Amino acid sequence: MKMNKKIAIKLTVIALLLGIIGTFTHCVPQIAKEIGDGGGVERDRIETPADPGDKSEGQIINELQVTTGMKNHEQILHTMSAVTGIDPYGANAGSILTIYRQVEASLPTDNDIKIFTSTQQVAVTKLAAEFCFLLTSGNFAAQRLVVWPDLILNGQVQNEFNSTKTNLFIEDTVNAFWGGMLTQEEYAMAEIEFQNLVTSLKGTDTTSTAATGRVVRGVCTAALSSAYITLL
Amino acid sequence: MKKHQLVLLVSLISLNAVAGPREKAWKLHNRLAGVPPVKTTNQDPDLADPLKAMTDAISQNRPEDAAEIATKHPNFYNVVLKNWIKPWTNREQTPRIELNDYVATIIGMIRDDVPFNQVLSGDILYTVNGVTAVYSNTDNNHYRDAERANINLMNNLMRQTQSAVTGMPATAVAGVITTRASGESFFSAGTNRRVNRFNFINYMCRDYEALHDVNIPDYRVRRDVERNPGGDSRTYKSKCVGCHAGQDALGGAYAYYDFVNGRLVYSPMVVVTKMNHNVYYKDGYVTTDDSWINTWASGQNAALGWRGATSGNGVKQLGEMFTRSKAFSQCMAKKVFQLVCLKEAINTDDVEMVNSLADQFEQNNYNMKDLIINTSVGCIVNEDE
Repeated sequence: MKMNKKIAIKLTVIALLLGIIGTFTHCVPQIAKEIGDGGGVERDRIETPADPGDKSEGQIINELQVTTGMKNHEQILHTMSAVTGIDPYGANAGSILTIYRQVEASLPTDNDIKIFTSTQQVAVTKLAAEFCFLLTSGNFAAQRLVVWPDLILNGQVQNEFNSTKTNLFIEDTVNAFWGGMLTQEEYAMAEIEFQNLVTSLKGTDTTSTAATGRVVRGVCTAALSSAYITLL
Repeated sequence: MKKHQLVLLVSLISLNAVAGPREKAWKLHNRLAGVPPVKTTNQDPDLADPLKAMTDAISQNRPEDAAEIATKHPNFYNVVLKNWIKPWTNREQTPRIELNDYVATIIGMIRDDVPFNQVLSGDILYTVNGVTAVYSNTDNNHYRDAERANINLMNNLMRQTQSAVTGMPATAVAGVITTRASGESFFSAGTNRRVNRFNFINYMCRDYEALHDVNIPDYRVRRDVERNPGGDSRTYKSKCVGCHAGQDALGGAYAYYDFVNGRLVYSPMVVVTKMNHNVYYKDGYVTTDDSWINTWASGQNAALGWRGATSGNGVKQLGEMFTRSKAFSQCMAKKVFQLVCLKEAINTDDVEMVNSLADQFEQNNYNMKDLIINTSVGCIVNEDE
């Protein structure tokens, strides 16, 4: 017990001494706060050399040289605008800016793909959903016609999404939003995923016209929030 | 691995692996304009179908022409350049700030091919046409409103002389250093040391840690720097002096400037109080005028490639000295490389490319737009060949 007390006292004294040294060993204590980091305050940096064989996943990712980037918040907004033809600053598109302002802070700040997070993807999807909502609204029929020239939005889902028209719809979506940059293999993969999505969203009521809009918005949002849109 | 993750991975890989002229054109446009190339109703055929025009240019071995088409997109200015420059204008180095006069001026200089070595010395300021709020020395409303309305900067930036707009004497104007945004971020409170540090960070690509040199004379170190911090003068000699001997010797240039009541104020022949307050060492240097000396021109920091006069008076001359240096050209090339190539120049090939681009930048009368075009061609069009 006595020993423990002695050790405790010794440790306290050492800690206090270190504290005093730490407090008084600097250049301009009073000014430093006013002038930010630029006032001549030296930052002690003791870097332990890392063992190359003992790196965490984060370190490895950080050291990787990549040549692909993630679009930043404004680039994402303007890319969605470019491919849909909807100007978010234009008439009847105010809701896009409203959503953009809501999610702006969650969208990427810069082009560093290594710090892209799932939260940012959620924000991208939310913004894409709003673009697609407007693209299927009455105010943007002209823009919709450019993207899907053969689509009859108020047509029955069994007609608009029969086998032939579904394929055409997917092709139009990929061409409009992804610029037709896919290889055949990639296109085939994407097509399968979109086919599955269409099937899921069609529902059971084959005569429904509401389902047509639902499918269009679903596929549109999926395509518009994909890596083809957000990658740089 | 889940299927959607696989799709994403394949997509990521394929975007890099596929490298025909069309794919390169697509990537080039995305990097420079921030958006993919889409057809428009523009009268100019290159802009009406930019993907085709750029693909043709790359196929015909005219990659610079392809890149130039992308720079004619409004978002090259409104989105890409704006977000690139914004971090230079605030302490937090973030692009999440309003458009301001500092950013607008650099965008305008790039658009008009103004030699970029005037950025820290020219009597130049860009305002925006079509904004109700006029330029003000005391607020940022003019630029804030321009950005909120998404005004096309490519078409609406208007070149002015800073002295005419702000009323500051032409001899006291020093490019973006004396803009209002710079005043607010770098001249407010403090001791006017911050502005010098950020000039080094932004235009020489070096913070003080990299310039630290304890072997140069310290006769210009001011009185607010303790010579025996913690009662030990060795700390001053081995640490503090490494930055202060250089920065305080340059700091005189800012002696007549202060940011007061929302505006950058220039008081000719009157040294602002904050330059000499807080006396911790009475025999330290007292700033009496706006003279400066570059003590970092010798010793290890001579490697920055200083050219011409290394002493002078005022910020304009100081800005000229910065932009005459080799380090300035290399820094600009490095920043542009990072912007369009999306990586640091670390490996030998990249470092050589940056050095070569810096040389071209100087030979090309410091044309920043050409530097951006040449860099993008180097790392996007030529990389896979």
